[in-house]
Amino acid sequence: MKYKFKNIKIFDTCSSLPILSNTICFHGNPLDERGDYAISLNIDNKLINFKYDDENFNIIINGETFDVDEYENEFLTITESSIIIEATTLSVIDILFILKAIKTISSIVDIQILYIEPKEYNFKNSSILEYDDFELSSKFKEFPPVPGFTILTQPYDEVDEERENTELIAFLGFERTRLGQIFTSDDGATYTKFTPVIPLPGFSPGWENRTISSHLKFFSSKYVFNKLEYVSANNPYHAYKILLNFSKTRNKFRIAPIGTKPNAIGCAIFLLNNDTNNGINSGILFDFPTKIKKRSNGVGKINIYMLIKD
Amino acid sequence: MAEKLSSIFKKNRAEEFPDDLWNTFILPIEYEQWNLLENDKGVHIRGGRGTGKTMFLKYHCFPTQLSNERISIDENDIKQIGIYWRPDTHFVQLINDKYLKDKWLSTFNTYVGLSLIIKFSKFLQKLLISNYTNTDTKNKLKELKITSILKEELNCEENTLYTELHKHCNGLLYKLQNWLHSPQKDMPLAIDGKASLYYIIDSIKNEEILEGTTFHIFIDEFENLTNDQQMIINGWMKHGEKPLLYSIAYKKYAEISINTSSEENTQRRNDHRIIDIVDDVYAKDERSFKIFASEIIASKLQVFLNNKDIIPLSDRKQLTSRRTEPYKKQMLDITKTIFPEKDYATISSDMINDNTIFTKVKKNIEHALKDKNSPLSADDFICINNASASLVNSILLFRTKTNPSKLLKTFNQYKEHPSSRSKVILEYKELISNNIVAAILYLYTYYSQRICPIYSGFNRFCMMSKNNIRHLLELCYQSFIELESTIEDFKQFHETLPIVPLELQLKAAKFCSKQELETISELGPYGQELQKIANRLGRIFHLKQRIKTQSKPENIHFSVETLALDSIDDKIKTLITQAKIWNVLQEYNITKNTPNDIATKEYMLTPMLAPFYTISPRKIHKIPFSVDELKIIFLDNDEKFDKFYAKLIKDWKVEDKIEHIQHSLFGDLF
Repeated sequence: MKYKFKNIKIFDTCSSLPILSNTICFHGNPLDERGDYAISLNIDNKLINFKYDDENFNIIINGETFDVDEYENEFLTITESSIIIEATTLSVIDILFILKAIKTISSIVDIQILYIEPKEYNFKNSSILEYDDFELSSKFKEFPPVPGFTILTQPYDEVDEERENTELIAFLGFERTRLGQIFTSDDGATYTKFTPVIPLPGFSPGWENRTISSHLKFFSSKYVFNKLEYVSANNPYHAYKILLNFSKTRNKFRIAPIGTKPNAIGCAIFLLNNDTNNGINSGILFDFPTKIKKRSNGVGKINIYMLIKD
Repeated sequence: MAEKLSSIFKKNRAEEFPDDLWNTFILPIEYEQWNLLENDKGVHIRGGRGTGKTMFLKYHCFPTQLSNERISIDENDIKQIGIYWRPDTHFVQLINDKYLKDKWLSTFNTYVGLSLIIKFSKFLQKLLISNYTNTDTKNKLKELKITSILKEELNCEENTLYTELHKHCNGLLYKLQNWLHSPQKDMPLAIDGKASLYYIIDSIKNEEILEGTTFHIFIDEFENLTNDQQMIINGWMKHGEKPLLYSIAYKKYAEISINTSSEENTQRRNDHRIIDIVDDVYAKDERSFKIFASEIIASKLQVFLNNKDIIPLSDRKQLTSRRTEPYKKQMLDITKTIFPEKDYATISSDMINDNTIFTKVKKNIEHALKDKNSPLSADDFICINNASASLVNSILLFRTKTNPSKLLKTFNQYKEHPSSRSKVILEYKELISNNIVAAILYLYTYYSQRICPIYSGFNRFCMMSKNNIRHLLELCYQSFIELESTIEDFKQFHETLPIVPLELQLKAAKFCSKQELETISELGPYGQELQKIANRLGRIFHLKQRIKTQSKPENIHFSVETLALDSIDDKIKTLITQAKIWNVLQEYNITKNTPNDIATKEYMLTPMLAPFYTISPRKIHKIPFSVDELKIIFLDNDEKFDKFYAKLIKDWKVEDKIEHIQHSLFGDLF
C-alpha cells in the first residue's frame, strides 16, 4: 500500500474551501493567526490534538500518552472513511506518525491535508543578526532520533572498500543554524555527499535568495557538497518526486526536512512509501524547533492536498 | 604538487584526512610521554573542537600501524593494536530505556559488540595485506574459520573466515537497525559487547596467532552516548586489562559520567589517567604551541615546495633533534617570515604619518586640553619621531589625574633622553608600553572600514587561535586565499617561501573572525544563545574600547562579582559550560587554590572574535559584572540588553554614539 497524491489545490482566503466536514481533524497547538484560522475552518469536525513527544519517545493524543508502538491501536476505532490532517499546526514528525497509523487502516480512503501559508513572517529586530533574519525558532534540539525512521550509518573507514555511503539530502528554509547543527554535531564525519534542496520558487518572490545566501558556505567541498536541487516551496509532490528520483541511485541516505512544511509533507510520504522492503534505506533528521509564538502574521494562501491509497 | 597554496591548507578537519596517518601525522615533540599504545590501562583523552583529538587517536590505530608505507612490520610494532570507533551519535540516542524499556541494554551491547567485531575483523583483513613480516601467522590467519560457538552466536554460515566476518556482521547491524523500527518483536540477535570481542581475541590466540598482542579500543565522541550507555563503557574500561583495553575521548568540559552501572564500583576521578590534547600534548605553554603550529605549516609547505630539507615530522627517531633550540628557532623563523608582523612602535609611526589619523590625534589632544582649560598647544604633545608616546599622550590627557604641563615636561625630557634611567622617564616608558595597544585600538575604532594592524603576524595569529590548531590553519588558509587573489602567476610560490603582506593578513583575520561568530549558532543545542551572548560581550568590550581615557584598557574577559554561587541562575551555569565546551569562552582561575565555582573564575571571549569587534586579543584587564548584569547579558531579551547597553554608554561617557558594529555585522552578506 502506498500513498498517492490525488490533487493539490491552492486557494485565496476569500474562496470557498472544499474542506471535508463531519469527519476527524488531527491538529496541533496553534502558534499564530493562521493556526487559529486553520482550526476554525474545522469547527464542524471532531478535533483530535496529536503530538509526538521527542523527549520521551511517546505520543500524546488529546492529552493521553501512548507508547510509540501502541498509539496505532487508537486509530482502529476511527469509523470515518476520510480524515483531515491540519498541517499548519502539526510538525512533520506528527504528520509522519499520523500517516503511518492510517496507512494500514483500509476503511480510511481519503486523506485531506490542510496547510495555510502566513501572509508574512516576522522580521527579527534583534541586534544579533542584523540582516533581515526571520525570527522563527528560539531553540533547536540536536536532531533526536525518530523511532521507525532512524537509520544506522558507519563513519568513513577506508579499510572497507565495500562500505555503503551515507548521503544527506536537506530541504532548506531560512534558518542556517539548522543545517549547520547537522554538520557540527559530528564534525562532518558521517556523510559522504550532501545535496541541498532550495525552494524555488519560494513562497514569495526573492525568498530563494535568502535561502541560498544564508547557506552559501555549505555549498563547498568542505561540506561534501554534491549538487543543488530546486523544489517548489509549496509543493509536496515535487519534493516527493525529487526524493524518488534521488533514491534511484542511492542506497542509504538521511533526509532533513528543515525547510517548508509542504516540502516536509512530501518527505514524510516518501518515507512511508519507501522502506527497506523495496530496497531503500533512508531515515529522517529533524530538530524539533521550539517555534516562537506569533512567528508570522496574517493568513496567506490555503493549500489543500488530497491523498489516496493505492 | 598542489596547484594552489591555499588548497593544501583547506583540509583542516581530521575526518577529511585518511585513516592512515603514518607519514603525515606530526608527532607531538614530547611524543614518548603520550604514546597511547604504551598504556596498560585505558585513558581519558579530552580536547575541544578543532584541537586535533581525532587525528591523535587515529594515529594510534591499525590503519596507521599497518600502513602500506611501512616497509617492514614486526612483532614489536604490533604489541598493542589500536582500534578506533565512533558511535553513530544520532542512532545511538534511540537505544534508551524510554523507547526500548528493558531491551535497551542488550540492544546497546549488541550494537557496540557488532561494531567492534566488524572493526576487529577489518584489522585482521588489513594485517594480511600489510607488510607484517610473520608469514606463518599470515598463512594461518588466511585460512582461519570462526569457531562453532561463534557461528551459532552470530548465525553465521559454515566456514566463515575471521577476516570476512565483518561482512556478515554488517548485515546483522542492518537487521538490528530494522528491528529498532518496531522493537515489540523479538530481537534478531543479542550478544554481549565486551565478552564477544574478548572471546574472538581469545580464540585467535588459541591458534597461536598474535599471542603477544593487546587490543586497545578507542571510543571517540564518548560525550554523545547517553548517561546509561557511558556507564556501561565505564565498566568495560574499569575492568579492561590485557589483552583488551578500552579508552574514551570526549570534548573538554563536556559533562560525562564517571560511574559504572554497578553502584559499588563508583570510581574516583583519579582512577584513570586523563590526557588533555591541548594542555598536555600540544601546547604546554604558548611557545610549544607556536613551534607545533610552525611545524604543521612547514610540513604543509614542504609538500607544496617539494622541499625535502625539513625533518620528517612523523619519524620517531627525529624527536630528539626536534627538541634542540636551533631547530625550534628555525621553525619559528619560517612562520615569522611567511606572516610578518609590525611591532607596536612601527604601527604607531605609520599611524602618525597617516594624515587622517594624525588629524584625529591632534583633534583629540586639543579637545582634552580644552577640557582641562590648558593653554598648551596640541602640537607640543605630538612628535613624528616619538609616535608611540604621542599616541599614548592623546589618551593620557583625557585622564583626570593627568596634568598637561607635567606630561609635556616629561614628554620633552623623554624626547631628549629616551634612554634615561631617571624615575620619571622609566615610569613614562611603562605608561607607554601599558597603553600603546589601547591607544592604537582606540583610534581605529573611529574607522570601521579599516582593520587595526595589531592582528597580523604569526605570533598574533597564535594569540587569537589560543592553542586551537583549526583556528590557526583557518587563518593561514584565508591569508593564502588573499595572497593568491593578488597574484596571477603562482609559480614563484613553488620556489621560495610565500610572504603574506600585512594588509592581506588583516583581511584574512577579519574574515575568520566574522566567520567564527557566524558559526557559533551552529555549535550544540544552545548555539543560537551562545552567539547572542558572544555578540553582546563583543559589543560591550568594543564599547569599552571607545572610552577616551582608556583606563584599565584592553578588555576581552570578565568576572562575576558574587560570593554566593546560589545567586547565579542555573541556566547561566549551563550556558557557561556550553560556551566552554564550544570554545566561545575560556575559563581561568582568578587565584590559585580557590573552590571550583563561577565566582572564582574569569571568562575570556574567544580572541578569534577580536578583529571583528576591534578589541584586544590579549587578556589584560577584566570587566567585573554584577550578577544582575550577567543575567541581562546571558538571559534577557534584546530590549533589556539595549537599555543596559545605553546605560553603559552613559556611564562610560562614550562620546561617539554611532554603532557601526551593529550595522556591519553580517551586513555585507546581503
